[in-house]
Parts: sequence; structure tokens; C-alpha cells
Amino acid sequence: MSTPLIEVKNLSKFFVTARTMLGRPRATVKAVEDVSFTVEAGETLGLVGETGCGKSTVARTLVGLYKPTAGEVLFRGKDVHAAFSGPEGNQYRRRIQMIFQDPYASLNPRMTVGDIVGEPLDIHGLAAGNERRERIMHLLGQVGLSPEHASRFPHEFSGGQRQRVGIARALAAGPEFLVCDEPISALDVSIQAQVVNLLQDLQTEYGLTYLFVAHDLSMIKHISRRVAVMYLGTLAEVAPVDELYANPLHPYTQALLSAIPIPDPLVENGRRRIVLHGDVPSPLNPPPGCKFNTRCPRAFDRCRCEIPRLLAHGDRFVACHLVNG
Amino acid sequence: MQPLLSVENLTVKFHTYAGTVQAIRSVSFTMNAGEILGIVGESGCGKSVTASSLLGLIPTPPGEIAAGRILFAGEDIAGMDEKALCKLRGNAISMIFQDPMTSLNPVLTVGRQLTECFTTHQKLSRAEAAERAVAMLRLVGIPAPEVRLGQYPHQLSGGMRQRVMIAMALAMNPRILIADEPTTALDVTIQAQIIDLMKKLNSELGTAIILISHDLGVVAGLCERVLVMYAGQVVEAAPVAALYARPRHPYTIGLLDSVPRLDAARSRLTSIEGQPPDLLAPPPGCAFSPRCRYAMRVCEQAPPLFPAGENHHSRCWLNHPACPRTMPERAVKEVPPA
Repeated sequence: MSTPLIEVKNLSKFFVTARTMLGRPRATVKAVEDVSFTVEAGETLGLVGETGCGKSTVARTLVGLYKPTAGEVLFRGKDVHAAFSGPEGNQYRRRIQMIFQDPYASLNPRMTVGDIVGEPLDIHGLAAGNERRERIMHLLGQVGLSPEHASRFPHEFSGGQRQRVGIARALAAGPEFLVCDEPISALDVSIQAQVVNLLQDLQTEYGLTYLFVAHDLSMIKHISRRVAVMYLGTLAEVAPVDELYANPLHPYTQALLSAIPIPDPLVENGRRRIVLHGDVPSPLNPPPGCKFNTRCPRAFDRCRCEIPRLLAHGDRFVACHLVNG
Repeated sequence: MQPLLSVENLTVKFHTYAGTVQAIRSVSFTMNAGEILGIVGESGCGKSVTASSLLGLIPTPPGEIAAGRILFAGEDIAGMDEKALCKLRGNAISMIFQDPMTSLNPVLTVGRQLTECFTTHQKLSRAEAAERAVAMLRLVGIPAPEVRLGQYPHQLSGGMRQRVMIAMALAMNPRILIADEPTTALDVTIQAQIIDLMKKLNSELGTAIILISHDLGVVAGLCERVLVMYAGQVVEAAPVAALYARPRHPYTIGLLDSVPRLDAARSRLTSIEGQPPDLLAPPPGCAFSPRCRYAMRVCEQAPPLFPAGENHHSRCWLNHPACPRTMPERAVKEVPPA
């Protein structure tokens, strides 16, 4: 197998939320703990999980918004966090771009759309003058906006249109890898389909690689080739999409899939649901052993003391004592 | 049988600096006791305003119920004064809001907020009220309810807070529970718990539920009848099975086609192009026609609600008996028995 485009190795990110008088950490949120996965060039890896499971932290660490506490992220075999602070830093930043969740908060309200989309061109010195203007017009056209939108401000646009501006900005730098952090969860249903179709068209046209973070498993199934499921800062399961949805191995994935409502009353009434009891434990004080053991319907003694490792089963990976034996 | 609730030609306007927003334009529906009614639509279609007006919660000014009646047990809610509304709210009709964090008071304990309705509506003593509150928390499945009474909302998780909201709403055993996007702020596994709970309460207590949601999946699993709203109007009303199997309005068809299904093969999503209309100046004809693939010249005139099957109505000219074109049939997936 060739080198993957992105390789995440034992990535951990802890946040210190309280310190003692001497400045030593007193409380630490283990947002991401020992997470490893790869993203092949040209594929879409879906990253799913519930609120607070660390999926956005993974996304933000990949683009360099956070420095990892431990572990590394390799882009074509090269450690990006070391590269970001080196002389070639901008070369790497340019190739890894991000689309944010909230199209209202992620655009500067005082800049015109043209300047927002043009900013990456300025920073990376990609185009100036007339060429810069043409590139901006081209990018706006690519995401389905028209040239006259360039002189307008973000507040004049709807949520879906703003998300298109965010996509144009990410494309401006000419990236290879796009991290999409819940790009559609703030949008209405009919607009979500527009943005997802746009992202898929752009992927075909530019050969982009996506990490698509979402909590909507139906949409993840639609857009991804492989899916990684996170729970409380760790990976529960990574598998090709059809295998994961047809035969989820991890009890958490099974519960998650059965909890998703299907827009068809005939199917809904015939389904058996695995309803998980209780809530997700606090990442400030995660349970020992498998993180899922407090809610797992099939937990046994070993789950409460030994952390399951993410082991390969063919082309899929599972972190569960039941499956791994 | 006389319906429990009947809304007739309800029209709500908001007077703003930019002009008059026609949030709801002549909405009519009825609801029977014990029924679960779903209202679906996108942001700004008027579903939350409809719900708020049922409890007299439209801020006036800038809002105004410009026309119509809301008949509950023979009385018109739209014409009630504040005193009568206070008797109604939380007692006969109650509401669960979308965001449990902002709708609970952060500086009062859960117990204080939960006992309030018993002490105001039923004039119970504090000890009796606390006892009832514990029973309510137990009903909605909160473990160790006695401990929770003394805690503040920030000490509870999102799902737990929503359960407290439901307990508060059900405390007086209301005839109607309005749930405004009750699971939107929650994760899917917690959402499944809350939906199960609402189903259980409906069958055990006979509480009628109005579920407002944009999630077609949640509506499919919980509701018996569904209203689809668009630009302040009801565009389709149907029993849940008929709506999903044989939608009779292009907007409903578009909505159903634009969500990927967990149990279906992948194909390109069919999106509805364009944006919902500006309710400051809604188009004179069919509000959906600018985005509609099947728009005809007659769509420049506002369509009435046409009958489109048993108990099924659609606001689309394609249902006119003289219309030469027919409604596209959706490819319905064969369902293997579960």
C-alpha cells in the first residue's frame, strides 16, 4: 500500500482547565487520547461521534489550530506540526485547509466576501492585481455564487450561501486535504443537500481528500468511503462505510446506528432500538478501562479495568474486548 | 367528536423596522385528544410561531395575532387576557422548549422550578409539592430524584435537563404538550431516550402531543398525523404513512429526497435549489413556485388546499382535478419485514 496522505499516530490532546497556585495542572480534560488513523489520497473519511467526544478537537489539531499533547500527524510522511513552525510552514498550511461549522461566526463581518475569499491568496502570495480578482470570481463561480456577490458583506447572505463562501475561502489556497468540521449541521435540510452535492462535485473536480466531521450518521454514510466512530476521546471503530453500516462490530456503533430515526414510518415502527441508558461520562473524569463500559449493554469485568486496543480485522479496526478477544 | 383543539385561519404578523413580517398566513388545523401531531418545516416557516400562539406567547408588540381563532375546549385562546392565559399555561397546555439550558432558570434549583406549578396552580404545601416533584422526576426516568431536586441546571447533562423540562411540562397533567424541537440540541442516543419517553407518556397518560421538528425521521417514528409548513402556510397535511409513502406536494417530495437515508443505497441527493421566500413580501401566488420543478403558469395564483386522499390535503395546483399534469410518484422502497 502506498503512503497515505494523512497518517495520525497516537494523537492525544489534553486541556488543562484548572491549575494549582504553583501552576501545576489540577484538572485535565482528556479531549483526545491515543487516536490513530489514516486518510488515503482522494477518499473521504467520515468522523462521527456525539457532543464532546473529541471529533472537533481532532479536526482542529489536524489543521494546526491546536498543538498535540502527544503523538503526531504526518502529511505525506512528514510531521506537520514540526513543519508548521519551520520555514516551510505556509507550504503545509496551504495544502491543509478547513471548513468551519458555523457559517455565521467563521466569516469576518467587516470584510467583503471578495476579500474573505482573497485573503488566502494574499497570505500565500498566490495571486495579485487582476489575476487575484479573476481567481476570486472563478472561486465564487465554483461554489455557485455570482461575481456581484464579491462586493457584499457576510450579513447579506443566508446560511447556505455563507457556507459556500467558507468553502470558496478554503479552496482559494489550492488545498489537497480539506477538514470539514460539521459543515452542514447549522443548515436547513434542503440547503444541506445543496452543500453536500457541491462538496462532492469539488472533490471529483480537484481530487480533494476530505475528513468529514459530523454527528449525522445518515449524511456520513452518504458522503464517506470509510468511517471512524469516536467515543469520549478514543476511537471505537474504523471501517469501510458499507461494512460499518451493514455489520457494526462495536456495541457503541450498534447502539448509535439503531438510534437514528429513518424518515419512513413503516420502517420506523418495525425497528428494534438499542436504547443506551445514562449519559456520556465527563471527560474530566473518564471511567477506567473501556470508556464505554458505563453504558455498554454487554460490558463485563475486563472492560472495567483494561483499555481495549484498536486492533485490525481485515480492513477494519475495532477497540472492544468482545470482538478482539 | 369535537376536536380538542381547533385553529382557524390563524394569521400572525410581526411589525419590524424593515416592514411587516407575515410569519403565519391563515393556518388552520384541528387536533383530537390523545393524538400526536407533527409540524415539520425549515427555519422561518412559522412552526414555532404557531406553537407560541397556542399559549399566547407571541410578544405583543411587535407581534400581533391579526386574524383567526384558536379554540381549545370551546374557548378562544387568541382572545384571552393574561390572567386567563396564566391559568391555561402549564395547566391545560404546556410546552417543552428547544434548548433546555436557556429555558431553565440557572439560579434556581430544579426542585424550586419544578414545585412552582404545584404551589401556584394547586396551592399545595411545599412538602406536598416536593413529594409530587420527586414522583414526576421518577416518571421521566431520572435516577436519584431526591438528590436532583437540590441541584442546579448546570449540574445536569443535556438529556437530563430535557427530562426535567418534560417533567415540568407534564406536572399538571396537561391535555396538550407542545414540544418545540425537543431533541434538536441532543445527541442521537439521548434523542432516542427522549422519543421513547414521549411515546410512553402519550400512551400511559393520554396526553396529546404537538411535535415541532425539522427532522423527518423523528416525525416518522413518533407522529400519527403531520402538517408540512412552508413560508407561513400549511402546504400539506396527511396521516403519517400517507405523507411519506405518497407525498402530494412538491416541497414535501423535495424535503424527503434531500435527506440521505440510513437504510438506502447511496445516490446523489436531490436538493431543492434556491432559498425560502422573504416573509416581508411573500410572493402573491404559491410561495414554493420559484423553487418548484413543476411550476406552471397557474402557480402565480395562490392555490387553495386541495383534497389529495383520505384525510390528506395539499396546497398545490397539481392536485386540481382539471390539472393536465400529474404529481410525480416517489420511488418507494420495498420494506423487508423487520
